[in-house]
Formats: sequence, structure tokens, C-alpha cells
Amino acid sequence: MVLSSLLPVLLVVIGLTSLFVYRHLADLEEALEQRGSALARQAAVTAEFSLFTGNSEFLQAMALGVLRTDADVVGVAVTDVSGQIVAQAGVVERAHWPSLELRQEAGDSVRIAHGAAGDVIASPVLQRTLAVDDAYSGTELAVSSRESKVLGHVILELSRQRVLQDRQRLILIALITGLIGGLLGGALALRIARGISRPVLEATDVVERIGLGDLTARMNEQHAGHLTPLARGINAMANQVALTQDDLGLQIQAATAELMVQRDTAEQATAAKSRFLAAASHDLRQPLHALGLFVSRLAKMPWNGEQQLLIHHVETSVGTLQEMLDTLLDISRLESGTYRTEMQTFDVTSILQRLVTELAPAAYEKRVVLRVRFRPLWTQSDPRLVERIVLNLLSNAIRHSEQGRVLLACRALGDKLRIQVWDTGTGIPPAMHAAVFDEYVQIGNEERDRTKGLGLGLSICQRMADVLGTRINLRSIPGRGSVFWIDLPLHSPQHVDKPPAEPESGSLAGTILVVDDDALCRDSTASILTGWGAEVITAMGAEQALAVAARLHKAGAAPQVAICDLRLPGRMDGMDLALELRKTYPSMKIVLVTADVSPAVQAVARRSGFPILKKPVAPARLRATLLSLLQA
Amino acid sequence: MTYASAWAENAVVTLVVPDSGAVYREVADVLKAEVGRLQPDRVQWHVVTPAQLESLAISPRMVVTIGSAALDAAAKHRAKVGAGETAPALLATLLPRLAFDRAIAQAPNRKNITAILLDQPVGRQAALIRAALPNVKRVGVLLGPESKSGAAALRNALADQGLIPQIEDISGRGLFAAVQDVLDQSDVLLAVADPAVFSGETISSILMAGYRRQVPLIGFSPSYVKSGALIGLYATPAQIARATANVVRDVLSGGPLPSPAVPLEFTVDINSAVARSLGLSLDEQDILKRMLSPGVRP
Repeated sequence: MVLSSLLPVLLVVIGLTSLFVYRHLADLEEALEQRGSALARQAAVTAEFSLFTGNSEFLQAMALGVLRTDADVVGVAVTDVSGQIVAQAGVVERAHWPSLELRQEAGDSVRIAHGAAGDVIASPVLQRTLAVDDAYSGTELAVSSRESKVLGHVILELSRQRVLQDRQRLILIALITGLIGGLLGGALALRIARGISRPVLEATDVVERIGLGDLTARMNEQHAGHLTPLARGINAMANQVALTQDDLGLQIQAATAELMVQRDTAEQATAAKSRFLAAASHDLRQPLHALGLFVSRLAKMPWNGEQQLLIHHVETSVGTLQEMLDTLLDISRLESGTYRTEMQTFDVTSILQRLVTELAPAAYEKRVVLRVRFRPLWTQSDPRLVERIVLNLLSNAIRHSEQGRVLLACRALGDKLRIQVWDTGTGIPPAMHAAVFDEYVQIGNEERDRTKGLGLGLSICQRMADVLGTRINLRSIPGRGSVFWIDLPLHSPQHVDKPPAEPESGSLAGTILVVDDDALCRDSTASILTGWGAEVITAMGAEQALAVAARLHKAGAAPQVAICDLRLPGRMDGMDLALELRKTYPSMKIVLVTADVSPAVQAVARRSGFPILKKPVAPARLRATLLSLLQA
Repeated sequence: MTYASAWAENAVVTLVVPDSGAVYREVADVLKAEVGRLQPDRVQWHVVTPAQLESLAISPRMVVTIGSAALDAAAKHRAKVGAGETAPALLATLLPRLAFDRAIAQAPNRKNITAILLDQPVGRQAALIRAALPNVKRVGVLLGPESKSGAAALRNALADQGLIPQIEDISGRGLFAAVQDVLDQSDVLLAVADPAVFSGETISSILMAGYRRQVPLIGFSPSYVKSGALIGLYATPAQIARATANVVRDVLSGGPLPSPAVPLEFTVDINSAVARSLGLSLDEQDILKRMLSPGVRP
């Protein structure tokens, strides 16, 4: 860029300088020669008469005059017609002279001999003729043929020294001039080039910055020089882009705001749904709990065969209902994000053993051989979620394996613990492997038999697994069977007190105070407890409970156990009552019962140290709890 | 009217004119016009150049040559033809005596030849010097081998006007030495028509030398005045032509052939620049008047 802008200037400067020097050097030489010739001619004219008269003094003076006239003349000589020097001034070197051949010359042409040190110029001194030969003098015939007569020569020796000095000075001046011209021209060219290149570079930079998103980038229009229109164009473009960008930004903001509103609405809706589910399930639990207790009590009574079967069906239906309710509850909690994991270090075999015990009857019913293969292995996880996942997988396996085999296995795999559920069921086609984890997808339940579940099982299990930081895996060959598994972190074994084993049977001997404002719940609980052999006293609220307790205590028959519903009418709720009872009767065992599944309530209960049961309470669980309390 | 009978019908006159030179043409033109004026329609001019003279077939009544070259050619032709007594009369004009004498030296029948000469009579020259330059005493004259024969006549003529002749013969010495000597002793230098002394080659040096010594030159032709002579005394071409015409008329009228002569008419020509340089105030008319006054003999 710089070079290409300087080149023309440099070429012009060099060319002009060279031409100037060349012309002037030639002129210097030529000028010297011309001046010498002119001087010689002039001297020859001057010398004519003196040569004619032989006046050597005058010729000497003339030679000196000529010598002084021009600094380049170093020697002057005047010769006569025979070539003899008649006058001389300065230094003359005859060897340098051109031929002075004495021929009759035509015209007064000078002769020049070029030497190394200088030129020698010889001008013939001619006898001038005047036009007087005419008819009057009777000589007119000879006029045309007559030639000028040579009287002698004037010889000038010229030194080229001054020419050489002039030449050096000229070259020096030319070089300096050329240099200055080149510098000025170069500077100008550079300036002009910069005037173009700088705005272009700036334009490139600005365009690049705009390209990178800096829409505030602008060109300086004042300094763009010739490219001001370009700068204006770029700035106008940038303005337009910025305006468009702002427009887009506003539109996006508006869209985002709208989305936020929609999201808030959706979240509110979800929260409302969750609240509704929580409330609904609470309200459903109460009667379901009572129903379970009633049915259990009813089953204990002596019935004929048909009645027994009916009651058994009712019992099964109630169990399914409770299961579905729990499932719905779990979904709502997982969806609303209110589920809080309770990480514990525990031996998975305790859970697995319990599940096998729980599901063994179902397996037996379906003629499914349920086998286990596990040894004590510890993990750190949420035991409730693990239990629910494995329960789901295992019950699914039993459900889908008609007269087949189901294997529950647990083994260590590196730093992991793998729980597997194998079955020899119908299997799942590979295309369905992903779909089985979707909600409401059931394989082989086109008739949607609700005793086969809601189709939410695997979906919920996968969510639970997500919560635990693992996932459910599946491998299946249609017709041969499937295997589902989850991996949990392997943990070193820890010593903990074994949880009390649930007694299978045994009567409850003792007085039990049941406090519940819900009449149905209070009566069903009282009914089943009475069935188990306990003496039951009921109270509708805290005040009544305290009064009854005090009356019995006075009578010496204070209740050993109090079952308090957490939510009670009046000033005192279940927790207040429990605390008051413990304070008044330190020996009294207290069990809290609640249909409220909110974590806050459960946390309060847990802090108090009282055992807490959730409605609907499975009769077996209730009895086991009571037995352990009464035996302690 | 005795002349008229003598005229032959259609008298043929051959006029030999060199083909170059304004002076020759002027003389020829004036001559023809003057003859035509004097004798209307009686002369048939036959104009040739000297070279054409060789093949001349006709026989004219008279031959007129203008200039010395034309005379040379006519004289040669005449000698070749060997015409003798029957040869036509030959009138040469516009040439100095020396050239005339040289040309006809070998020609036959010299009685039949005459001329109108350019040489001004020495008396007229002396009278001019007397009239034009009253303060001049010494008059220098340079003579060559041919012209030295006229030295005596010159000396007498100058002396008659009270002038001191300083005559130098250049023969046997260098021209420069003779010029030096004569200029040293003269107040004015009188040029004579002798190519050995005065020529185009020598005139500038002679003029220069004279100028150095403040010695003016009296020339004998217009070109001398032009070249630097102070005064010229000569007959102009027209004056010569008129003199020639008179002779032609007389001869054609049967008159006798006159001797070579100089035109009576003459001109005094002054180079005013030279005069000014010398501090002189000259006027041609004054000079002519004084030349013709009783004190001066022309």
C-alpha cells in the first residue's frame, strides 16, 4: 500500500532528476564549446587587422584580454599564416591543437580538438572582403570565384575543470532536489494514501465490531476524508441495524414477559393442582383409613364362605384404592417439587426382605415362583424412594409373569450396588423400551384393568430414580422376559439398632386412649383395637382427652397408650395434647396419627420424638407399633 | 534632318548584357529607353549574354557591350570571326580604362572600337577634393603596376588645385608597408581603379588603417561609399547609359565613332556616417556648386 503509493512519485522524481541532470550536463559541455567557439570567432575577427598589419603587441593584448574574459580559457595563441605563434597568453600546448592545415577554407568554421583536460578551439582569421569589386573596378569577373584568405589562427585552450565542478555541483543539487522532491511527494502520497487507508481500516474495524454485536460502533465522519460518503453509509447502516436490534429486543422482551406470565400461570396452576391433590388426598385418607380398619375388623368375624369372599374382595379393593391414592400423592409431590429426600445409610436387604414378604402372597396367587438372591449391602439413599421403586418393579414383574419366575437380586458392582428384578414374562419390544417409562403406558393392558394399576408406575419410578440421581434401566427380549435394574452408591456397613420386627399376631392387653375429632376414624380405630383385645377409651378433643385421662388416672386405670390425631378442634391441637399428656403422665406412651402429609407437619412431629403414623394406617402397622410400645 | 536619311530601316543593334547584375540591367534598360526616346522605333535591339555571343548569326549595325566581361567576350568573338574592316562598330560601356585597354589589346580593327569609361578625370577628382575638403593639403595615392603610368597626370592635376600629391607605388613592397607610408603622409587617400591595389580583399584593411589615422578615402564607385569611403565620385549607371545612348544615336546616324570618353555627367556621393564619425559636415549640392564655381576647375 505504502510502496505502491510512493512508487509513482519516486519514478517521476527519479525520471525528472535524471533528465534534468542529463540535459544540463550536455548543456554544460555544449555551452563551454559554444562559448569557446564564439570567443575564438570574435578574437579571430578582432585579430584580422592586427595580423594583416603584423601588430603583435595588439595581438598579445587581445590574447590576454580573451584569457581574462573567460575563466574557462587557460591559454590563447595567435598564429600567422605560416603557423608561427605571433602572440600567446596563458598556457598553450601545441600538441593538443587541431590541424591548422593551410587550405583555403570555405567559411570561417572553427575546428575543435577534444582533449581529456579540455577542448582546444582553433578559429581561422580570415581576411574579410568587401563588395567593391564591380564594374567600376573592372574586376567583376573574379568576384564569384574568390575565396576568403586565411591570415592565421586564433587558438583557445579551454579547461573542463569548471565544467566538471559545475557538473558535480549540478548532480549534488539534483540529488538534493530529487531527495526533497521525493520526500515531499512521498509524504504527500503517504498522506493521501492514509487518507484512504485509514478510513478503510476504520471502516473494516467498525464493520467487524458491528458484526460482533457492538452496535454503538461508529465511524468518525470528520476524519474520513474522501471516504466520507462511505463513513456516512456505514453509520447509517449501523443506525438502522441498531434500530432493528432495539425493535427485536423490545419484541423479545414483550414475548418473554408474556411467557413469564404464562409460566407463572402454569406454575400457579400446578401449585393449585398440587394443593388440591394434597387436600383431596388428606380428605380421602380419613374415610379410607376408617374403611380399611372396618374391613379388617369385619374380616375377623365368623362369616360363611360367600360372605368371606365378598369381604376379601372388599379388602383387596380397599388395598388397591390406598395404593392408587399413595401413587397419586407421590406424583403430586414429585411434580410440585415438594418431595424432600431423606438420605440415610441403610442395609437394602431389610427393604428387600420386607418387600418379598409383602408380595409373596400375590406371587403365590399368580403361581409365580419368587426367588431372591442377595446378601447385606449398604447404601446411602432415601429408603422410602428405594422401597417404592423396587416395590413397583417387583409387583410389575409378578403382574406380567403368568406362572413364570421372578428373581430379585442385589449385588455389588464396583463402587455401585445394583438391584435387579428379572422376570420370565411377555417381555417388551425394543421399540417400546423408552415408551414404558411414559405416563399411562401399559403393556398388555389394553382393557385398562385398573387392578393392574394406573400405568403410572414406571413413570413415577423413573422420576424417583431421577430424584435419587440414578435411573431405571431395562433389557428385554419379547417372549423371554425382562430385567429392570437400578444402581445405587455402595456404602460401607454401619452398625444400627435393628428396627423392631412387626409382630404377626398377639393380643394387645392394655388401656388405649384414642383422640380424634373425626367420628368415623375414632370409631373404626376403637373398633379394630377392641378386636385386638385392648380396652379403648375415646375422646373427641384435647380437653375431653385430658379430662378422661385424669378421671382414669384417679381411678387407677390410666391408659398406657394414647393415639392422638394431630389435627384437633379447640385451643389445643394433637401436638399440644401429646406434650401435655407426656408432661402429666410420663409413663404414658403416645402415638401421633395424621392425614396431613405436608413435610412441615411431619418435621414437627419428628422433632417431638413421638412415633407418627400416617393415615390411612395399615392395621398391621398400627398393631406392630402398639405392641412395641406396650412391651417396652 | 540629314540624320534621317542615314538611318537604315530596322537598324539592328546587338546588346551584350551579362545575365547577372542589377547594374548591367539598369544600364541596358536606361540605354534602350533613352535610344527609344531619341530615335523612336528605329532600332531593333538584339540582346544576348556574353556566352550567347559565340553563336551570333546575324550581322548587326552595331555591338554594344556593358561591362568588361561583355567586352572581353565581344573582343574574342571579333578576333575569331576576323571581320576586319566590315566588322560592326563596337561600343563598350561601364568599364574602367585599364580593363578596356586590356580587352582590346589583341583585337583587330581597333579604330572601329570605342567606349564610355568609368574613370573620372583626375582634374575632376582634384576639384572634388578641393571643394569638399578645403583644409586638405596632402593627397595620398596608391598605384599598382598597371596604374602607375597615370602618376604624372595625377600629380599635375592635384598640384593644379594646390594640393600636395603623395603617390606611392606598391610594386616591389608589401601593400601594408605602402599603405602605412602613404597614410602617414596624407590627409586624404584617393583610390584608383587598380585591382592590384584596391580590391575586396584589401579594402577593409585599407579602410581600417585609414580609420586608425583619421585619413578618409575618396572612392570611385557606389560600393566604396557603402564600404566606408567618405566620398564617392562616379557616374551612375543611368548617367553612363545616357552617355552611351548619345554615342549610339550618333553612330547609327552615320556619325563618326568617337574616342573612348568619360560621361560628362557625374555624381558626388557622401557616406554621412563616415563624415559624422570624422566630425565633417558635407553636402553633395554644396560640393557640386563649389566644384563648378570659378575658383575650382572641374
